[in-house]
Amino acid sequence: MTVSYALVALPPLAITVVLAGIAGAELAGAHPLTMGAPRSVSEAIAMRDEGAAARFVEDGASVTAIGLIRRGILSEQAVLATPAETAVLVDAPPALEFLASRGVVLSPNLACLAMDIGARAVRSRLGDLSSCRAGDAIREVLARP
Amino acid sequence: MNRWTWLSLAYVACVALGMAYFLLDLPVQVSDSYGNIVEASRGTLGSLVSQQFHSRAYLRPFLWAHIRVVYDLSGGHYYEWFRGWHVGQVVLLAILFIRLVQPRRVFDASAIPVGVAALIGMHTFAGTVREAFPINAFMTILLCCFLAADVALGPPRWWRDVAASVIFIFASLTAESGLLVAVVFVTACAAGAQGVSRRGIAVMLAFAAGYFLLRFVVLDVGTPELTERSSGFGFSTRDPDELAAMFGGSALPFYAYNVVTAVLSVLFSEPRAGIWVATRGLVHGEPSIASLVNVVASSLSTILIAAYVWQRRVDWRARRFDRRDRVVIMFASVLVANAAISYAYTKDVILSPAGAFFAVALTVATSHIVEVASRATMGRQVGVALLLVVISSAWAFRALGIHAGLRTSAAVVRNEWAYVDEWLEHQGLVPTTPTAIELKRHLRDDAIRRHPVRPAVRGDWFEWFADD
Repeated sequence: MTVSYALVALPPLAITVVLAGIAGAELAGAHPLTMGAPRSVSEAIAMRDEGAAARFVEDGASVTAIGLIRRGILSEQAVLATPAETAVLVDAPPALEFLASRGVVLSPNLACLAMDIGARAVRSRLGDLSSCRAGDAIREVLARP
Repeated sequence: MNRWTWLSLAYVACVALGMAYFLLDLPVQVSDSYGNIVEASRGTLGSLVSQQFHSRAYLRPFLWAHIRVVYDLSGGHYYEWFRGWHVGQVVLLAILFIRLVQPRRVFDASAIPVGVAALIGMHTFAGTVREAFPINAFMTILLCCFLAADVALGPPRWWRDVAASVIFIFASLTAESGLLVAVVFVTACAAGAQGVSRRGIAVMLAFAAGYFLLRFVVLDVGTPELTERSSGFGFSTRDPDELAAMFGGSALPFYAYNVVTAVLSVLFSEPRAGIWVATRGLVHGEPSIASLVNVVASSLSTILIAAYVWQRRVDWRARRFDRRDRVVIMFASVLVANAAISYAYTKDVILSPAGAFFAVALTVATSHIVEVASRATMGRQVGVALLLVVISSAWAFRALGIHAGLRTSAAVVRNEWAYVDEWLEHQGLVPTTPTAIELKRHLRDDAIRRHPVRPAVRGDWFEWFADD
């Protein structure tokens, strides 16, 4: 019957060991099961780490510069996008508002991008444009070398 | 205290430390915390408490005093003190849990991991750690209830009589659910516990009567308007207008629904806050893994507790209760009382005392079943072991889920701080005093600079823990 005592206790014990492992790894500087910390404003917005995005901007990072978003974050391939384009790609109106309050001009192309990918929340903020040619805006972002 | 007690204590210490690590990841919130700290920092402690005695709808002077004391002690280190005290409360809860179940044999110790997983994995517990105001009143009440049970179950001492009244006064003036402390003491006494004398119980009940007199007659604090809140009903949350249309002139059926669903929520994890989450998922053909695991864990655990009660029925009929029986009886009475005070609207965290006593009762029942099974035939032993492993695994999953939830909350809170100016403006709460502006700057820096969010875990499997 000793075995059954151990069996009853085993699953929670295993979880405790797993959590201890995660905590230990993080304290040692590793970040298992993650992509690691974001490296640019665009990547921070793509990872929905808006605190990091705000920190980058307040530390002097450009709010208009194209940033690399590593593969596996937005898609299976790396993406090059401006912070505003990224906010549209992840359909995050608060991020867009934040960037606008820091001087980013919300160009018509962003509305086209929102229509291309069906970013509902951002579309309600930017509105729809009849002049958009379907697919052009998203193709432009994905075509960047 | 023997080696099994020490082993159990060592285990809960590891669990509490693990939770502390994830809890320390949470910065002080914007909503429900920043404004409260600003409010609590005004005037003197005495004027703050006095002012709260004259507020409307809520009577929580000691919650505000609690916030003010920690604020003053912090000396400007808000994150460290508020979050540190939250961690301290979790550690205290873990110690009280062990004191209540008193593991002294191998059977008891083997049940501890299951019980602790149920304690922290229960959906009613999540609200005690995933948010704060910036002191989590529900966690404070949970501690008061466990402390009350511990005081009541000890050997008779004069100071326990005094403690009963002190704990009751503190809890009832911290949050309304603090009234459950009286239920704990009265139930323990009725079940033969002698820690608090009948005279001590009578004095505490006199204070309880005084509470109602003070609240409804002297101060006329009243209760929150029942038509103010949305509430869960059926498969969704209904706004007050919808509820009024559904129930017409009589709210009684709605109140009955809330009380019954609160009981079911603790026993079966379904419905949740009045909403039949798992059933809705099944009906729509897309049940979440977490909601199904929750139902399995709670339902099988309820069956286990019922089996314990059934096996003890002869002694119970003869009113022969031991300590383990008393904590199970406490669970039953706290469940009923907790559900009753949830009549106006149900919310998972309001049921946290009942959920915590459920974990205590489960620990007792598991230990008992393991002990009984050890004397049974081999076939029966294997059957019981399999059942317990299923229960244990389901609770382990839920315990992991609470940690995943803490990580999610940590990211959400930081995102709120990233856009705090826009949020405060939207809420019409733009700070104007130098103190409030400095506090906002400090807390924002805490959230996004000094303690930035840890990178998000990647993988669809993380979604398994989302239960709605």
